Amino acid sequence: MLDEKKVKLMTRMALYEEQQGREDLKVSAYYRKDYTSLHTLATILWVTIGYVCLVVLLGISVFDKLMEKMSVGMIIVTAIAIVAAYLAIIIAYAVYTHVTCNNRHKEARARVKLYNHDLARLLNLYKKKDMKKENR
Amino acid sequence: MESVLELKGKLQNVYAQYSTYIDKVVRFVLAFVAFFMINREIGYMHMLANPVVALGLAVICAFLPPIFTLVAGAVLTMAHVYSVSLGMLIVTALLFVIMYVFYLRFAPKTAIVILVVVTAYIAKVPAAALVALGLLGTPAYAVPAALGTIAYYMIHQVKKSAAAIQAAKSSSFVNDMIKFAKQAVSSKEMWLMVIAGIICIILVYTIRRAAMAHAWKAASVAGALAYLIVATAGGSVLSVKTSTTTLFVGAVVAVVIGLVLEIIFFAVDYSKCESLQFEDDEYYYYVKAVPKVGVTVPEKTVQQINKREEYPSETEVIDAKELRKKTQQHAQKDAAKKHVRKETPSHAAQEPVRHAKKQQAGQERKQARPRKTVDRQQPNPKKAAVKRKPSPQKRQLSDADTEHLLLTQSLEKELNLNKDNK
Repeated sequence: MLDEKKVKLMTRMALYEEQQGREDLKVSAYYRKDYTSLHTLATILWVTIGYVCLVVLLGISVFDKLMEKMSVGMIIVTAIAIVAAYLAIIIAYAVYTHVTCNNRHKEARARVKLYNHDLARLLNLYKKKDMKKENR
Repeated sequence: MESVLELKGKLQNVYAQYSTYIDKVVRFVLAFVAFFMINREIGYMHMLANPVVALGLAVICAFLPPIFTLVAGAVLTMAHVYSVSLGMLIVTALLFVIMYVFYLRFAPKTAIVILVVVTAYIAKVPAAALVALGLLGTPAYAVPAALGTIAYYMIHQVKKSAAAIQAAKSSSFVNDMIKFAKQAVSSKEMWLMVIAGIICIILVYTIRRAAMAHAWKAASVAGALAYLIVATAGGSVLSVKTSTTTLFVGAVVAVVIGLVLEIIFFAVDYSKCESLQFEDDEYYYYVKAVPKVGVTVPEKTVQQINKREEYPSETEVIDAKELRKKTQQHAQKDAAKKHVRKETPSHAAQEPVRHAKKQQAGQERKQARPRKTVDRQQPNPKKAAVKRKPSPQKRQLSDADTEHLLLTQSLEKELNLNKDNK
């Protein structure tokens, strides 16, 4: 006979697994600190690559003008500006990633806890069923 | 209007039933249109410019997340650009990497927005996409819309400069790269359209959120007009060639799309609008309630000629009185059986002589055995060590308890539970 409780539980769990479950389980496999620092590090690397691309692209596009007005002072000013902008961008992205990942991990962990609770309940239901069978 | 709303209801029902397939079809159509348009615009690599390739790619992308559609579009674009010049390819690749690193890594779900904007630009109706984004999204959609505009203008630049680069075969890829980068980054038209798009989205969003009648209509019209005005005025100020007719047609299409979206997503009846005012300890509330327009879709009634027989329900209704009678009868029968057992002659009575002998022998044995003398004053240490459990309290059974016991006993007997256990 169909067990309504079990069907409800299993449906809820299957829905969760289909929608957010995979991502949540991946996220919650890490400790929060590890997850956040790993992603922050990855962001710093990616942003560095992106920034280099941006500087190269802008450099190519203003290459003629740069060659015309080239001087030591200008090179120093440009270099300082590039480094300052890099630091500003890196800090902004690192902070954003840190905050986002922290929140994401918290939320994912909470959802996984609920999922685990459901799993335990399902297990209990199976145990009860087995006990009943044995008693008969 | 009613028929339109009825159609909307039907469409909603159909979508609710087949949403999985419809989503895939929509993704396929969008991907195919985007790839087809890219091929039509810059189809320099003949092998990939074939519509069959676009179709195949679109089929694959329909089953993958939206970011893959965008990646496929980017790869297709880069392949076409590569067949024109390696220098142009480097610039294009750099631009795509920058887009991915700074935005798409953090918001991969908005990839579809970029694709929609690029497709709308190629179809010459960018205002429609921007108004739709303002109506259905948030101001944050201004970023993917801007990236979509940049991607389109890059494709546009490729188309513009491809003929010149292909004609001058002697030019080096470094020169091509510098020239193309300059054109792509410093295109006034591109930045003008980026600004116009951002203004359009923010304006549409602000107006449609305002608590005024016909906010969505006003938002669509205002957004389309703002785009038209900014593009035309900015074009004349920055001396950028903009086709006023194309912009005007685009604005009209944007208004039409805005109206369609209003019917689909925000159908309300402003004539039945109600204004309420009330207060609590801290605030006065001025509430405006606008009822939604809803037309119930007529449901089909299906008459079943050969009705399927229903299975009998598994739960049985037990008559308590009958059950009580049965239990009483069972109890009487049991009592009668016990009585009969007591009355039957014992084994000892049937063989009196043998029994008397046995009894006599037993008594003799008892007398012959030396008896242990136990001092009753001193407690037995073994017995004293064992703690006695509290004896169960005697409980008087109430009527309800006895009834319950009787019921369970009778049920056990009827179901032969005792036998099974034995």
